[in-house]
Amino acid sequence: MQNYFDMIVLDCIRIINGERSVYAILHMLKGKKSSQTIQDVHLFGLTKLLGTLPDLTRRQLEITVDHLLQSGLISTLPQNGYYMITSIGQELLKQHLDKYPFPETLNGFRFQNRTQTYWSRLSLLIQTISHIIHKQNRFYPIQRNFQTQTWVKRYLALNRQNRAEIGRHLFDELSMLLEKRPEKERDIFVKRLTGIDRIGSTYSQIAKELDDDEWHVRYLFLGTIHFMLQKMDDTSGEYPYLNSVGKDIQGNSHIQLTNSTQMTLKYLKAGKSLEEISYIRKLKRSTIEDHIVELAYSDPQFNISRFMTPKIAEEIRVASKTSRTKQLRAIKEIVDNSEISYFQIRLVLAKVGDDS
Amino acid sequence: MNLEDILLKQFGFNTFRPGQKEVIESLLRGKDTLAMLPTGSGKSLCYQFPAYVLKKSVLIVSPLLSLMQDQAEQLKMRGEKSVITLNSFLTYEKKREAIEHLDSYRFIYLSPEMLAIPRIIERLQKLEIGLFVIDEAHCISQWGYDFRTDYLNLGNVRSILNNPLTLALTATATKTVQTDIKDKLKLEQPKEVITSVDRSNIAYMVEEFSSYDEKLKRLMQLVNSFDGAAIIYFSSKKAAESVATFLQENGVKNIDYYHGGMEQEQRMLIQQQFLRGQLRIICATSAFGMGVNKNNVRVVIHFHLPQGMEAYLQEIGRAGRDGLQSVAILLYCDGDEGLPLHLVEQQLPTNYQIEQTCASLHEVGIWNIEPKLEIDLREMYTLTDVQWRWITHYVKEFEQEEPLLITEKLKQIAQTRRVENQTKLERFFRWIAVEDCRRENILSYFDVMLTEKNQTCCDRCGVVTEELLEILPHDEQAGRALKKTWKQELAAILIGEAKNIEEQTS
Ligand SMILES: Nc1ncnc2c1ncn2[C@@H]1O[C@H](COP(=O)(O)OP(=O)(O)OP(=O)(O)O)[C@@H](O)[C@H]1O
Ligand SMILES: [Mg+2]
Ligand SMILES: [Zn+2]
Repeated sequence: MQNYFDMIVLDCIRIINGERSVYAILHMLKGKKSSQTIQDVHLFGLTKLLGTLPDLTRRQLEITVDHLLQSGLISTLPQNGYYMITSIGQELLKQHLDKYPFPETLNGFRFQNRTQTYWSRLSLLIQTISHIIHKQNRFYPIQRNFQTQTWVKRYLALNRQNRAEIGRHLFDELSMLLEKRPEKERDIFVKRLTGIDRIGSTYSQIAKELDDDEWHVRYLFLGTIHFMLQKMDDTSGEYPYLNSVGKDIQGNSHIQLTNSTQMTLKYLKAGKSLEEISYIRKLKRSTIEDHIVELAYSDPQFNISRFMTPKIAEEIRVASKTSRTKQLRAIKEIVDNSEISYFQIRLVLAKVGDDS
Repeated sequence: MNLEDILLKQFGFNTFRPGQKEVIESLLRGKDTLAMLPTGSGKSLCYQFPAYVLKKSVLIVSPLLSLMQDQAEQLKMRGEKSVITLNSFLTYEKKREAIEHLDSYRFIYLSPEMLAIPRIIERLQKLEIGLFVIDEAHCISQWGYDFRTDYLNLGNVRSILNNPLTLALTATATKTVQTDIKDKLKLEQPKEVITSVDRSNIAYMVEEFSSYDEKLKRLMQLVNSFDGAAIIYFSSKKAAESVATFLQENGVKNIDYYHGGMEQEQRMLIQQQFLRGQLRIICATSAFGMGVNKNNVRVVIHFHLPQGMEAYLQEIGRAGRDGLQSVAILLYCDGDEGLPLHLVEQQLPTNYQIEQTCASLHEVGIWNIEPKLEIDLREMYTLTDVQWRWITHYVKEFEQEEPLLITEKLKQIAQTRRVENQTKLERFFRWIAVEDCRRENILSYFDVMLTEKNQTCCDRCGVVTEELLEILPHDEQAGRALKKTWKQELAAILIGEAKNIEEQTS
């Protein structure tokens, strides 16, 4: 393996185990907003990686897959051309994962929509404060995005207190949070910051300084940001300043639904049945089913009992435990009950989902 | 107040640079103006200045988003707050907000595709436009370097906006291109301020090698023989990256790479590190440059050949914007011609791409292309951004014709363009080999006469690279070192009294 990215792809291929094409991996890492992708990350337990590489290209992925194939770390399944990890692959992957585990705080599913905005705001706010307290009112903003710039302006207009005080508070809160992270993550985070007299470093520069892999640095950094966001969600009162940077960013579970799914949700709430929704919206039944499965994944409270009896649900649950794969067909064979539909199996899987 | 007073008050400069005053006076007399002033000579001032006299909005069309943003930021750095850039990346909400308050801005930067949006045009029609500026105006001419189909629309836009006072700016336009600019913009007898394209403070050097390895070795030697800032241009991302890494590994400090394949945030970091002097040397593709206004770039090196004379002048134009002695060095190795030839070949869509794309476009109708379809088609036929816009532009233009005929016409135009691009390149190859003064040769390409000649002219006039590098002005490289610990660094950024913290944490 050449780098950490190869490892990520290899790990995904291992977990997906020949049940999806590599483009499913692309969609997951890019954070594609589709029911299928959201189901996949839950089904395979890859929620942490969702949307962690929004700029990934098809080509990058294909090159890596080729490379894994040539090194004998993966092989092609004859029936569908999908990939499986080989035993050498397993071995190597294990070594790498031991050495470079994912930060345990990584949670793409929960934070993918907030990460970028939060970091853009925070980094520009820090740059701005840093310049103001050093009596330099003009500088080139490190974030070009108009929305981000307007946000910082508005923030400073609304929070009229002494700028040095804001700086001090940000310092205190950031130190407190960073203390809880490993040495390396702290270093990376601080090197990424732009302040007075020093422009932040790029991932590749940090990687060279720390003699690490660029992709790994990127993931460690994401781990830090996700950790911060998690803390904001759980104990926002302890970090009032950091919390105020992100509290209005939308991106929690419901907003994350695809538009079409939100529409379906509206009809469901209005008491319409699957058939009715399909008829009203002039969409295929299977599409509405996709939406409902997506809802089941996204909302822990979502009740699936209106789509099947408790007995059927139980039957499927048992079967899914016995089956070693997550392939619907395999589960369907085990339950051996013609009254049970694939849709019902998917719904139940959505609910047992992550704990397997 | 006379013009010099305003110059000092608004810009802090004591004197105008050549051409600036003439352009400004012409505009203040209400005359449309075409100005060709060399790179780095202060063309932006030609439209910024009148804004303070005319007291109406100035509209600036600029070919690249990054260029637009760079210029807006530079204005803001000067303390000018009344600036907005309108581009397709704004959210709908923000765009609406900005459009509503458009008249409150002194400087409005627009990308040309924004001017194709009816809502925006309608709004602009109601605006009192003091001056309509087309920056990098050569982009409007298909004979010029960096032709952009969406610039072609600007002539119409000008009419719709009721022919506001117009300024067309360029650094690199041949006579043909100048005529074309006037034509396409429908400028009737504009005032023309054409100064030389020459950059007298940049020496032109070409060095020849017989192998790639020799060239690389020479590059390493070069970067170690001066201490100022430099840009090294490459024609591929991969080369920029790998040579930068090679030089790093061989002990060259403060060097990194920049190309269009990098994420926006990472690119911005590199650009600003360079502006601040935290990085001394950038290995870049031509994606780096246009808006970068670092005054003290001393050396521009071409590791690969540029795409023609105009491109070369634009790229070396990043050097010596402070007017001090600088140098452009082209490293040439036999056979280097292949790469740019290949690249210009690839700029235009192939016959196959034209046929397939046209067929698909015809099926759905050229006006019904959803973003999703664009993505699909571009992926299917591997069309670059430029190729895609090129094809759709012409399909729209020939809309009335038979589908098959359209396809044929496009293929023909592409073919003609390919030949022209090749001719341009060959003209540049000849420059490499010329035996007389390189400066005079460049000027003859643009039909201008050499007026004053600097002693340090070019290798053909006897300049020796080593000697020149030694006498280049020196520069302090800025950039603060990182503090010892992460906490001290954080304190240095956010508190400033790093001392106290150092005591606390060490
Ligand atoms: N009259 C002047 N006196 C001193 N400096 C000036 C003057 N006019 C402009 N400058 C400076 O010259 C530099 C280059 O200006 P500008 O970016 O406008 O160049 P340009 O002609 O547009 O170049 P390019 O062709 O590369 O776009 C800027 O730093 C600007 O501040
Ligand atoms: Mg300019
Ligand atoms: Zn000469």
